[in-house]
Amino acid sequence: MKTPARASGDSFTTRTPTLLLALAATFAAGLSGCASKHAAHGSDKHAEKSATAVPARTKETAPRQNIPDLTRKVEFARDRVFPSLVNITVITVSYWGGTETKGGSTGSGTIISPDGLIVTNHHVVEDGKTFKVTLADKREATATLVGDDPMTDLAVLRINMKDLGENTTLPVASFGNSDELQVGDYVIAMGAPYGLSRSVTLGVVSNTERVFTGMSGDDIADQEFDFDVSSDIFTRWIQHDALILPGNSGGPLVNLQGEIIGVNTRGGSGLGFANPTSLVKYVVDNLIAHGEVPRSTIGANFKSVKRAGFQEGVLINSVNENGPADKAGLKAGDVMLAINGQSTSARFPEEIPLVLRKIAEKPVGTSLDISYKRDGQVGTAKVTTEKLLKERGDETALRLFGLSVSQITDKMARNRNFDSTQGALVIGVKGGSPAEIAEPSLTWGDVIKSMDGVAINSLEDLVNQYKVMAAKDPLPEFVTIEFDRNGKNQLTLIKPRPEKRDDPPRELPKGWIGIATQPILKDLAKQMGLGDQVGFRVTRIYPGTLASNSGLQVGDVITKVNGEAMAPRGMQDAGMMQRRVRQLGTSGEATLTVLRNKQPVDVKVPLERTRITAEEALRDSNRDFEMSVRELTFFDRDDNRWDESVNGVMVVSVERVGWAGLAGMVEGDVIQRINNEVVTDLTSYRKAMEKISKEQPERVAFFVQRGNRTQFKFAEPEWKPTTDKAEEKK
Amino acid sequence: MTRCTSLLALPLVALALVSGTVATPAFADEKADAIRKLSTDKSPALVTIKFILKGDEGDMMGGGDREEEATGVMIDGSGLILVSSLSMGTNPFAAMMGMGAGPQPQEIKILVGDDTQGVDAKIIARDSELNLSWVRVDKAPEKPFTAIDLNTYADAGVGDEIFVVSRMGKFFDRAVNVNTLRIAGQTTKPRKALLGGESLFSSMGLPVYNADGKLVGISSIILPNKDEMEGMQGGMSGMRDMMAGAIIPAKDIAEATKNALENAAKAPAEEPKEEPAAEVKPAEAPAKPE
Repeated sequence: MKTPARASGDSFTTRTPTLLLALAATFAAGLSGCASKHAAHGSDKHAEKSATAVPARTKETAPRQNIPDLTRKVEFARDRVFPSLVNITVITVSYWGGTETKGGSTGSGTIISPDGLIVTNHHVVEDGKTFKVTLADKREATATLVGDDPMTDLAVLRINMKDLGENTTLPVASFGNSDELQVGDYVIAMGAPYGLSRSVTLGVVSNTERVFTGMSGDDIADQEFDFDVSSDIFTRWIQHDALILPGNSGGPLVNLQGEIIGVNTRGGSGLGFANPTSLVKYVVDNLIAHGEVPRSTIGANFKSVKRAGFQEGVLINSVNENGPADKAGLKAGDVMLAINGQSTSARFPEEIPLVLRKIAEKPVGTSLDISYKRDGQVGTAKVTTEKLLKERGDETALRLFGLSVSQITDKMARNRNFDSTQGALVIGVKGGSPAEIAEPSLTWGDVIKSMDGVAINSLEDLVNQYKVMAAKDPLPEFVTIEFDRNGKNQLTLIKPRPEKRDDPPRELPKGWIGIATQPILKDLAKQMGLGDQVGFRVTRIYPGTLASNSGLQVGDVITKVNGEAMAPRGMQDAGMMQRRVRQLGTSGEATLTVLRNKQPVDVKVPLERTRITAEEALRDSNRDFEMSVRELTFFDRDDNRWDESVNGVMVVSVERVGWAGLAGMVEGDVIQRINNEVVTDLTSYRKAMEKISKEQPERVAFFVQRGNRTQFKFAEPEWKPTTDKAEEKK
Repeated sequence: MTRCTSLLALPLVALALVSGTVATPAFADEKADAIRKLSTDKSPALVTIKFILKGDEGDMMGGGDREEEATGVMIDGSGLILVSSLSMGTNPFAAMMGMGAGPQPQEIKILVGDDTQGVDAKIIARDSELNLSWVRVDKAPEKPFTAIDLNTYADAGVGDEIFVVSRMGKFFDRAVNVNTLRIAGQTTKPRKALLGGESLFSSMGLPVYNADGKLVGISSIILPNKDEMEGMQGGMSGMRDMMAGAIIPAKDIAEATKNALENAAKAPAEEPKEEPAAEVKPAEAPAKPE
């Protein structure tokens, strides 16, 4: 879940759990009768035990006198974990709406090994393409993803130690035992709320085994935070009230001994939920060893038995067709009593994660003897576990079609009642794209079955076939797509085409006099001593225009244009004079009768053509830097009071996480120089950017005018070979 | 007595209805003839303009891209079309309120007659004051398209009957539709225009004829520019007037078209440069910025 939290100039989202879902779930869990262990507040015996382990204080925490005991303990914990606390900045690429979409997010994490392993949340690194880590000492380094686990929302990153120099050893925080945690214990949340680094909040544990169910239900599987992903089914959360906000995600929850006892993952409205380290350690170990968490499943869904009227066992809610449980003869309604002779029971929803983990943590392919009760009779089934497969499929975008597509996983097929995982699922269509304007158009939920007669059994098949098509020059006029929509087999034709954008059309040139005016209405005219002579008062004569040499003066009141009276009756007539002038043509001259010192004077003013406006200014889009610029107009200069020395091109749009955006370029900046190339107009801009593209420098310095100040903006491009040459060529 | 009369009238009504379904045309009066003739003669010049309306990301007036259709009129057999800028998706309020250019029509195609694929075209000129755009096909046709003659026009005054030939959308198979109305008024401010007395919004950019089939003008909207907006604080009544549309006299349209063609014929180099580029010497960039 991404919660927008854009501070001024911040182009990122900080990631944190949803507020309402968490609250609803919490409320529901409360109603369902979960039992909390209550303990006295101020359970600080561990802190006292470990007091001798306080490390040397940092400069910021010089010894102070007469501070409360609790403060000392918080400081102790802080000093043990702070050095290993990191901010994580992620550039993401997601594929929805028929195109790749760049984005950014920030979160928190903790270094857990001297060689740079970091534990954080899956939702912090989700869709991440590049990762940057800021250490507690403010040094920055890039990082790579070791592995992530959507089902527990945990992930591990590894810092690229080369970025930090030879022989760097990183400070490490250690895990504590979350099983020892009791309701009422003090806990400290650390992280970067709203991206504000190294922050600490204090709270108490309010529940050690929170699970999320639906508002009125008691099935934890009902609560999917992420569509298609069985999130949180293995987790019994530590609920606490140490304030966590967007940006805290992935940060540690710490006990007063300075040990990590949880990873803050969800929160809202004063309640925080942390993954307990008893689970975190298992997941992290597997991610480091395998890049994933291999899990067993028997293909069944479980429910606690309290509402079913049983005192023991686990109710089988459903079994997946042809799954291990199904093959072994288990059925929905059976009450599982024991696994391999060990009694297994879940009277309350809080106990379901333990049952699921008991099965999931067995090696894949384990044979389980499951005893169960059906219609009062006890039976036994031998079930061989299968690997719990990834639930969300890989995704990509086919730009020439304007289509986002996904692999179809078992779970996705089941959720949609598909009879197989064959094909590629349409997950987004760009407005106005070939896929949308096709007749019939493709739409969300369609399953692509073939392309130009070639069967598409997987996402990979579709991508391969697309690449073959995209490499053709010219592109084929039509591509035939066979797709399935709600069980109906259909055909359509797509006309592939690359994205292109023409310059906006120019306005028809018309007559213009380079002045600004205001209407002088009846009452104002009287006050000015003009009697009944209304007209248009010259308020500005634009420098550099033909009018500036015509003899017109600011303060003149124009009463006639070529003998035709200009008599405004209200502010709605403010444009009357210029409308009249526009009809006079773009050459020749107009005779303006003006009142100057209350005396009529005829002034001949040469006509010129209307100046180009921002709306019709020519543009250029640079795909490498993800920035569009337009030519500077006369009115840009006049509005900003820029003199003639201000030339260049104006930024009209910039992708905030593109190279230019990350350099700090914003809309309205006027680019005047790029490295050593002076930019005066679109032509020189294009020339400079072509040179940059050819030379591919490590750093590009943009010298820009922002308002009335100049600034340098430094972009650090990551030049890489373009993989999509076929599209570039178009 | 009244009741008897009513009952007696029923068979007559039924007879009239029956004969109405059999006899075509039903009414052989002058107006009906004019409508039928206009429908036949003028509708072939109507064309469908298909385009993708593209908004810039982050543009306040932008939004997602989408396919749109507009009806325009062929004004030259070589493939010159006149169309309402508003129908082309251009948001006149965006520029008026200083909110950028707003979404722009791209990938324009002209569908003539029964064509469903269309031929590529571009907007060659736009007149925001008239809210009209001139669109030209990229490749001239082998055989000229049917077009209306902008140079054969007639004046019209208050009370004169006028006709607007338009087409329904594709759902109704682009059926020709002729509306009749009378010139209900005229204005000289903010520019000279005829008023239709009822909304012309659905026929923006389309020709308005007299009973003889002579062009009277083009239906359009006239909007205030940025300076004039201050005088538009009277609430929705002013807005309603504006959106009801007006008829721009044919003479003005002919002149604007001449201007558009002359301007389009000019090479871009002939466009005046905004200002001579001054020699610029911005500060040197640090050689090795930290």
